[in-house]
Amino acid sequence: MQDSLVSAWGGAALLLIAIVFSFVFPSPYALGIGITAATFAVLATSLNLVFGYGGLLSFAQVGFFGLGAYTAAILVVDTGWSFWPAALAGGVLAALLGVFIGFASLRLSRIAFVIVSLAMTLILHLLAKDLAFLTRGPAGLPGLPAPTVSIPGLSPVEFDTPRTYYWLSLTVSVALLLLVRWVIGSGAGRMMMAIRLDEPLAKAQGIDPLPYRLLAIGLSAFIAGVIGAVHVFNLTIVDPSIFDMYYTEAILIMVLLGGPGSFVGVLAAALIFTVLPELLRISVDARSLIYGLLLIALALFLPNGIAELPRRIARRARVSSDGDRREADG
Amino acid sequence: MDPILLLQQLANGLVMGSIYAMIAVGLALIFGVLDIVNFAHGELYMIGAMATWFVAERIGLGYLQSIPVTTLIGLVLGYAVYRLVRDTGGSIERAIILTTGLAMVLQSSAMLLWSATPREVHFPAATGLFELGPVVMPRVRAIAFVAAAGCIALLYVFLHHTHLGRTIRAVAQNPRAAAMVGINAHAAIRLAVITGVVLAVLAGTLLAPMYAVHPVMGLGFLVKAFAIVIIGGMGSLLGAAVVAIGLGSFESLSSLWLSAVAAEAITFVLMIAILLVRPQGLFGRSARL
Amino acid sequence: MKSKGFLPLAAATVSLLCTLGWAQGGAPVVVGLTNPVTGAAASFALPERQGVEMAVEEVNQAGGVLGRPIRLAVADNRCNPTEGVQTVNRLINEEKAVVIIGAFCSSVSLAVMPVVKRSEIPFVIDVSTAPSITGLSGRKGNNAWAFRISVSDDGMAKALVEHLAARTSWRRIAIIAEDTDYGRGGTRAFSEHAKRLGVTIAATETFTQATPDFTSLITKLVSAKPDAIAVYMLGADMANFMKQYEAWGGKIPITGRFDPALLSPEQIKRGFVDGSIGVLPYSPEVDTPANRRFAGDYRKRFNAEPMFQSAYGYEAVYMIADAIKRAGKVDAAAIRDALEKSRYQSMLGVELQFDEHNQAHNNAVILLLKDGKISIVALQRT
Repeated sequence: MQDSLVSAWGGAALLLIAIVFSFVFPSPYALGIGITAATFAVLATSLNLVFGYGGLLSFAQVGFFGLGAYTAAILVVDTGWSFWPAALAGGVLAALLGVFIGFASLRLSRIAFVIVSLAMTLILHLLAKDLAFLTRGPAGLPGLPAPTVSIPGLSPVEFDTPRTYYWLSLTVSVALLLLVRWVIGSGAGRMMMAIRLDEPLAKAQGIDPLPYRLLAIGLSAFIAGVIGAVHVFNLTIVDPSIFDMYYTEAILIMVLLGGPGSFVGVLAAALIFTVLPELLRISVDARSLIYGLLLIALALFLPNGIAELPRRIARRARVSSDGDRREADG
Repeated sequence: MDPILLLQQLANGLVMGSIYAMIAVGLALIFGVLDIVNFAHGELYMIGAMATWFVAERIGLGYLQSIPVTTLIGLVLGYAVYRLVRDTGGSIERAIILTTGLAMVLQSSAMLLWSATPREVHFPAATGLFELGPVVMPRVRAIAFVAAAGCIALLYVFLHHTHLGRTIRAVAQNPRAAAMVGINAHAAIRLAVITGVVLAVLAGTLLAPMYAVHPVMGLGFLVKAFAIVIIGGMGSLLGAAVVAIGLGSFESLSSLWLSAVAAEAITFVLMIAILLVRPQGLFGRSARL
Repeated sequence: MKSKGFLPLAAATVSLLCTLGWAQGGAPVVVGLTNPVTGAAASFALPERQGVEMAVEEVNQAGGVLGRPIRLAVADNRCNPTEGVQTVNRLINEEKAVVIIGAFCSSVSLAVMPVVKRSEIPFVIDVSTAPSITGLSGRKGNNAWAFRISVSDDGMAKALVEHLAARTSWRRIAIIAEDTDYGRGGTRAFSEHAKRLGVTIAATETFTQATPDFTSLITKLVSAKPDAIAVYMLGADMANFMKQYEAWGGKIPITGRFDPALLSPEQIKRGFVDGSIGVLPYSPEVDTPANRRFAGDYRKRFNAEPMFQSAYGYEAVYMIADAIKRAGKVDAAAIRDALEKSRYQSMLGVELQFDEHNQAHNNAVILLLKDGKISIVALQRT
């Protein structure tokens, strides 16, 4: 109850920040960072949904992201679809693939899912480079047209500047995040959490975890796919580097830092982790070293995110006063 | 099809397979005792190769002299990996995150320390070609094949015919029962993890004279090793070894008809197909978790 | 303690910079460079940056442009289109760059092109070689702000195959290429020109980047019995392939985008792949006065051989400086108009002009490795 209240206020505050941001920093550079931040917020949430709520570590989110991007781009360029149905189709295709690999691997184990999710991203990368008749190979598809919205009676709006695109990506991101929020708050979402917290207990009560996990994977793939389409139509090009391993590492950090299973925590972490490297401008090699160390430190000491830190300190103080009992990590 | 070409590709495949096996068996061993997938395995192999270059070429000790040094590095790294993953409280996801972090640290450190420039390791005693009837291969590959096969044979003898090795197998099969009969599970796990890591590092040392050595050479093998371990049945050493040899031969023979890229895609598709029809893998124990 | 040491130093630096600026009478003209400073492509992009830096310094020592110094602003795009767009926005909005050089990787250049068009800032592509860039540049390609001085893969393949068909007895050639834009583009261009000129392609093999083992591919290539093997691959893969090819006793000469200087001196001494013929966009050995001076200064300064990236980065700055001088003012549109009318004498001995796709047609260099020596056998127009 309290959590959902925090999350509603936190979400509203973040939205307000996003709106104010665009007026305070109107340069295309700042708006570009804002668009990237909105993209990462959705991408990190998609991992949060699978990992934080579904309990499954996934290396597939970037794969879904790229699949949605490529699907939308190919539909628009080759078959003349308009952007909106194409982006939706990208999300749906990603969701179908997600459910398929989830079904195939989860019959064995959660570890198999992790490995298959990584392999899937790598296959998609390979296909993007080598299925040249469809994907145009390594050069990708440049010159993607700007999405438009035409309302009858008004002249059509074209999203072809950083300012207009900022509003497009903000709107889509908020819609996708609200969708996730709604599912998490529903009965299915509570069931996901129950399974994650105590799988044997859930199973003993006759709950089959598989459909709930497939729901988490499918929805996370859908939002990643749609935001992938939004992302590349801003760049105006999609190419195989969209499957960059770096994105996987970055969203993993965001989720761990924000706290798996914390909706607003992950959003905040995504925003901070898009803006911070831009401000610090540290070299990528050093960044990768820092990210690696951060991953290790978080997984070792704060598996539930930074938000847990104050609680941990309080508990530690209590525990040490009552004898040096070691606490169990969640 | 030219039979000599066929034979030649089969020989190439066996060499490749033995190298895959050396990397995959270590991965399977660590998985067997801890149920942990070591995502840093490919980078450990890379560190083995780069350390070999550093000791043999930069310091100038020579290739053979570098082997004891890299073995020592393997032992130290093995202990570090063990310390890192031993207390994950059964959370496979946490273990994967930890080893992913370790992989990033190893790779970026190698990049910062030695730059991305490809390096060369010389092994003067192994230049020239080795001929066996119509089949020809560089001597350095023949040596790598013998060494890799030797390492795997040694591992087999160790696991099956020594007391320490048997404790590892006991822990892998049933940690609780092993503890009940008085086996120190921690020691067995530590030994298994260190062995797996040393195998990866030594594979790097072994391959260093064959390949250009650079910080991103690890990834290519890691994913193949995963596929091998999944197809072979997770945690099955025999499965890993057999599938590795099979994969090496398949890649090599299929290259006569298919592009290398297609062969790679087929490997992945095969992995997912096997999960669908036979989730425990070809040689696996029944499904767990 | 620390701050005591730092502050005077900072103050001194600032005042020094100000003095330099004043000495040349005006605020600096900002030229942006976006390229991969870190990541896998970084080691090939470093020579580009060095060439650019060297040219900027030379121009400033000679009095700058219109009495103002040039200031170089560098941004790291990691060879990733997303970061490419971000870096260009930053260079334009934050650094106030009036012209941009970049973006090294072809996919990044392609992503940046619509951005410079929208921002109306000239963009000089100095290294990217993808043929698709040509079609999307210039007034005819509906983007008057994008210029390319680098030679496209198609132009280089044309120069090479024409040379091979006319001057060698090679009639069967096998190709091995990485599965990237560079590899596939090179393969396609080479095959097309070979077909046109009656040269047979004996085999075409593609591999994924960072492939560890080339054994089966080498076996296959050699068994096709070609007269030469054309290679289209970069950096670590090239080193890896060559190492394994030599271990396999490879004797068939190499061609394609092959730089013999990438072989180790021992390999050349051993007579490995003697008779190979490669095509390059540049060589430090090209004997023109301008190139002799450039290569000499570059070696002295960086203690390294200049690469094609160095030479093209260097010339990009000079072409921009020349355009600004002719424009007579530091204004993006005026600089663009002046660039369009460029007539610039390149170090490879051609007067560079932009065609209606804003593509300049420099010479390509055909190199021969023979008896342990690398020599230039032809400069062929692309």
